[in-house]
Amino acid sequence: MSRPSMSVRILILVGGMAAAGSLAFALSNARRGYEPRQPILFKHSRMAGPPVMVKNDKGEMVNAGGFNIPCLYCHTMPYKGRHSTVPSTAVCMNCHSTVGLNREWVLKMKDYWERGEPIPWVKVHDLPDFVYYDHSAHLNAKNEKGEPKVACKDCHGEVEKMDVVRVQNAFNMQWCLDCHRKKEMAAPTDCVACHR
Amino acid sequence: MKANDTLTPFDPDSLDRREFLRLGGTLAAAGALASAGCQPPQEATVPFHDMPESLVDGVGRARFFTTVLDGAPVVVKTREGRPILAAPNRGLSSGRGLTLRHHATLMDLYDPDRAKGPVSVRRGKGAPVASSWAAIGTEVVSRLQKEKGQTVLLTGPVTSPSLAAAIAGLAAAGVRHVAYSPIEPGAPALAWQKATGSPRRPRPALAKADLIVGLGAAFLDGNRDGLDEEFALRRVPDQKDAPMSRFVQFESRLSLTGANADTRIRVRDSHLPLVAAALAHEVILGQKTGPLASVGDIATALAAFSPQEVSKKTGVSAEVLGTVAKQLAAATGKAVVLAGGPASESAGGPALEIAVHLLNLSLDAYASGLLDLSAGEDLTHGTIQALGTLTAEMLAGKVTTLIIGGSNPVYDAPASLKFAEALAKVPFVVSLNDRLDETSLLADYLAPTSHPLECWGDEALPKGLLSIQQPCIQPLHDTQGLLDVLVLWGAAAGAGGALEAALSATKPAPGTPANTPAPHPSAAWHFIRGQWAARLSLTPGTPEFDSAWNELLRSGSWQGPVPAAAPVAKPGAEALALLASAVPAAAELELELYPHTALHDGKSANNGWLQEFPDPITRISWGGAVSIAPKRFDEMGLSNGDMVELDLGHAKIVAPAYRHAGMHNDQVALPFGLGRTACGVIGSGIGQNVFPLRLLADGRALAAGLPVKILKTGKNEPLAFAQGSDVIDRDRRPLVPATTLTAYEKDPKSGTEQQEAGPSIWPEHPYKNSKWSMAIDLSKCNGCGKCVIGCQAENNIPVVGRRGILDGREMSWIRIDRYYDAPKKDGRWGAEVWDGPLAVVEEPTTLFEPMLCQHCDNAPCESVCPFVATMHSEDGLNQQIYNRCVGTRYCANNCPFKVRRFNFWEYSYEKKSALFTSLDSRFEQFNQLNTRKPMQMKNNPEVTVRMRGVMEKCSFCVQRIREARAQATRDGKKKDHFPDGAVIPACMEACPAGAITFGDLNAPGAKVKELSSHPRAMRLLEALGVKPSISYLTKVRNDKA
Repeated sequence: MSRPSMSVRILILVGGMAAAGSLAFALSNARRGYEPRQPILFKHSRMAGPPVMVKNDKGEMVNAGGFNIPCLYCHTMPYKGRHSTVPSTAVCMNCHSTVGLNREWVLKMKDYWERGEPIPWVKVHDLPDFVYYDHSAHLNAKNEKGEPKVACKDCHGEVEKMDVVRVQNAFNMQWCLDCHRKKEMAAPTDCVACHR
Repeated sequence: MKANDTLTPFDPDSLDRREFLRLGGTLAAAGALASAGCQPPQEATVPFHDMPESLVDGVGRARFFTTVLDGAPVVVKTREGRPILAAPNRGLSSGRGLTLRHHATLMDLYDPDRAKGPVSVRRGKGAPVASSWAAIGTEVVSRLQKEKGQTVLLTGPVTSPSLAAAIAGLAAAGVRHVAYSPIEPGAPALAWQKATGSPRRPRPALAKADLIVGLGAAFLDGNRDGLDEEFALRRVPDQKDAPMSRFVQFESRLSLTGANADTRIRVRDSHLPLVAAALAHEVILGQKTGPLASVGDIATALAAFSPQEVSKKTGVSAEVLGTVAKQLAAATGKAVVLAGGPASESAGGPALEIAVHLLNLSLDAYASGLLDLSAGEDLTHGTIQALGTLTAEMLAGKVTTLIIGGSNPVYDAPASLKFAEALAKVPFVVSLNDRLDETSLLADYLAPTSHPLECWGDEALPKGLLSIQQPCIQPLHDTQGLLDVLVLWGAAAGAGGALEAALSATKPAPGTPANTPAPHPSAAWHFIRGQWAARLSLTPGTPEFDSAWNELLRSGSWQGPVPAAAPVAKPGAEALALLASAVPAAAELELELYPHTALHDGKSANNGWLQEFPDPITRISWGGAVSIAPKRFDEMGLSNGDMVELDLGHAKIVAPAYRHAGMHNDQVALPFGLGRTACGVIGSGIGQNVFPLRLLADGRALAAGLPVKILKTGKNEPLAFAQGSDVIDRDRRPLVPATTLTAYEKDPKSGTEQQEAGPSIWPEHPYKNSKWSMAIDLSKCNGCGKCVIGCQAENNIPVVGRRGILDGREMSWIRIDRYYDAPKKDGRWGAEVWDGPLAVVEEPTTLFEPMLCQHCDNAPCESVCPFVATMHSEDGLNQQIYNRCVGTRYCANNCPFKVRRFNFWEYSYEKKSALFTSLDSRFEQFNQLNTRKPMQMKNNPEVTVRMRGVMEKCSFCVQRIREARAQATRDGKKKDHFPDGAVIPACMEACPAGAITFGDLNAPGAKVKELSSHPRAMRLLEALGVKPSISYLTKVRNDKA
């Protein structure tokens, strides 16, 4: 039996590597655990977490926990449009024009505001460009009893407990379909539901 | 391998199977490890700095603006502040409609070859250098102040009331105004002026007409008068309240209008006046119809034009003329005769127009409202005569400063005017065009003007309707609106009045506190509001004015007083004298120059969508050709693309030849709008400029009936055809349902005959809920192709260039196939029918068929895709999934409709690498055509931009379907069925004729259900059993006299 020539073998090698690599990439949940560093160290736990009242050195009761601010105060519109919107700096300034002005990161944010520059946040939950995800279609979906089928935390996790937001789920097609295929969800599984 | 061989040096060719596998496995594992460590690319998500109130992200974020664009009201869809679609404003019955150029305007707006800012051109001596608005303004103003009376403003036609008012105001600063339009209805203007004392041409009410007779009429050939919409209303055979109209056209070159005629009679352009006069003779004197029958001088004027006499001179049979005249006379009060096409621009044009006027008077067309004078259009907005006078003054040194705004006479004036020579004699020239075009290159400065979507303006529409042109985007470059510039310069030069007031309103009033918001920066905005305040008798700034103004911007129109229509008197002796110009042609062969269907006058020649749009008749894209009659073409032994020389005596031109079906044997034709030399990298050097060929006579620029000789040159330059075949033998290939009215009345199914489908091996789709479907009424479709451009804009379809078309790689998802119907004959047509035998193409019956993905139930493409990248959805869509597609192209090969398009090249992403561009020049070309900044701003963010190696096709505008579903979810509504109008695809939105109906077949009362079960409905290639979702309704021709 004649052996394949060297070039054919190299081709097979390279092809095999590529195939194995892409398979491994597809199987690995590259997105889960993604936790990029943001330009401003914004703690969701401080804003959205539950308050924890403790005594300070002087014996005064202070809030060492969060302020219980609802998600929708900053991330407006997920019920109305495709995107949930990252808040504009003006939303931060609603409070921070008066409070927290001695904190390093608040001052940095304020610096952006005064320069009139938007803050270049790093995308945490990033879907491929060929996926057309619609927040409103998910959040407005109701079951027969009229209860919402999905809540923010079903995908994003308990953001109110996170200091730095970290991707909690795989955010790949398999993970989407796991839910879409559930009978009680009655969700579309057509390709064009997400890809067009 | 032996155990003691381990020290043998590594020899690649000695690798055995085991070692190969071992090595391979290690490498693959290493690769897998390396990729597992990969992270998705980091992307930024940049929010607003301060988000405007009530903006909704995503689909709902699209904002719609009503505005007016080049004389037609449009609704502009914007996303994230950028216009991404221009669609007709259907809420407004304005007497205007969109043309292909309106639909393609985004490519003009985002044209990378527009001037980015003011430049000092220095008359083309050396490279242009950047200048500033301040520097140009100062120089212009100082000249205006010094040289009163010797400054001229040359513009295109002025139809904006505010612009007209500003120009009138400029007169106070000593600026004279001259308007010039390259494509000018000279003959109708002259005839109307003489016949009625006013150059206003009435608008035909085609929806009221039972019989339309066209004499070289061109009402379907890319005009903005919206007549295509009205014409279609009466083209369906089964509407009870609107019986089918009949349209008879006399013409020479088969035009889009003529292709839609029920009966088409070939007459060369210079014989049309005789034919018109003969019809008038027969109707008025022969049939004694109308009030003119007893008028002596009319009888005298028409005496020479009896049908017999005219028949002798023109070869058109007296019998045909008699029959048409008889039909006209019988339809008095319900018939209208139309001319005014390119054929009217022959020497005998005024005679043609007067004869048509006489016919309409006799047929009561004015009294019965078939010709609406109050919706008339002033034909003298710009004249060649005015340009001629100006040029003479320039040559005589009487003009010291010339300001050119929105006009390009170096390109489009007749050569005999010698405009460029005259321009050199003017000491100071400023161009207010949008780019360094032919005229701007010979100016001192170019002060670039904004696109209409970037600046304020207004527009007078027919019937006293006025509309505001509001900007939908900030100017992309350092440009200003024409009105802004004129107000600024005029006010600075001391014109005073409203100009001064508008300019001072842009500056904060003295003594205002520092923290008050700055006034609106646009002088045009203040000027227009001042004009409107006077019109509405309100004061700007008051709440009443603000609410009226906001309503105006919202609705897009305001109904002003309808101009009074004076009753049309019988034409006087002066008008009747024009009939004398109806004389038989002297030359054996004559030339007609006609506006290009897509490019019109060539102003948008750098628009890739328009250049690539295949002409509905010739199917040529990227250029034009000399249309030659099939018989003459064959006798000369030509083939398509053979370069021929046209010798007009005063000029010669070399252009490729085209065998134009239905062309009169003694005529050739060439389109205007091509042959630009300085419009940008896309349109420059495409085709031949024929504007200079026009002859000046009687204050008109003659563009038809020009004597010409034709010579072969022996060279060939392939024409970029978007369609391979011309003639269809429907006996063999029943691909287009078509019939005649007589046959239809006998059997409503006539024309839809085809083979029955065999038994199917595929299970039926259940379609429990929605099933999307489309019906296309070929009786309404006139083949204009607005759906093609509308689709291209909506679905991010790239431009492939001339080479791409030649390679058969066009990308348009919807195309309009044009076929010439081979008549039935004894025995069958042989293979010769595909070559376009004279018996078919000399007097062709034209069929148009919009062809797009048929979304077959048993789609042949779905079953062959090895990657399952195309499959069926629950609601009947044939889905194409780009991220799964690897480009095997099996689907395209298996598609019987040939509607799938493959991205052979990287059309939509910029290839910056020098390596790529050095490999093939096409990489650079596709960058030029599609990806140069800011072109990508036109892209619809709801549709994936496809990359190389991916198959694509019509998706039934799935993004709009998904948005309708999402909206239903948001509103808490059911999603099982969708009512009509919930989803309107881009082609249906663009179609002026209402030929396309789209909807949910399973919804109760759906229009598409009614149409697809209509007796006229036919699904194509039924015999294959593919079960398309699109029904075609028979094209019915009205053969009932």
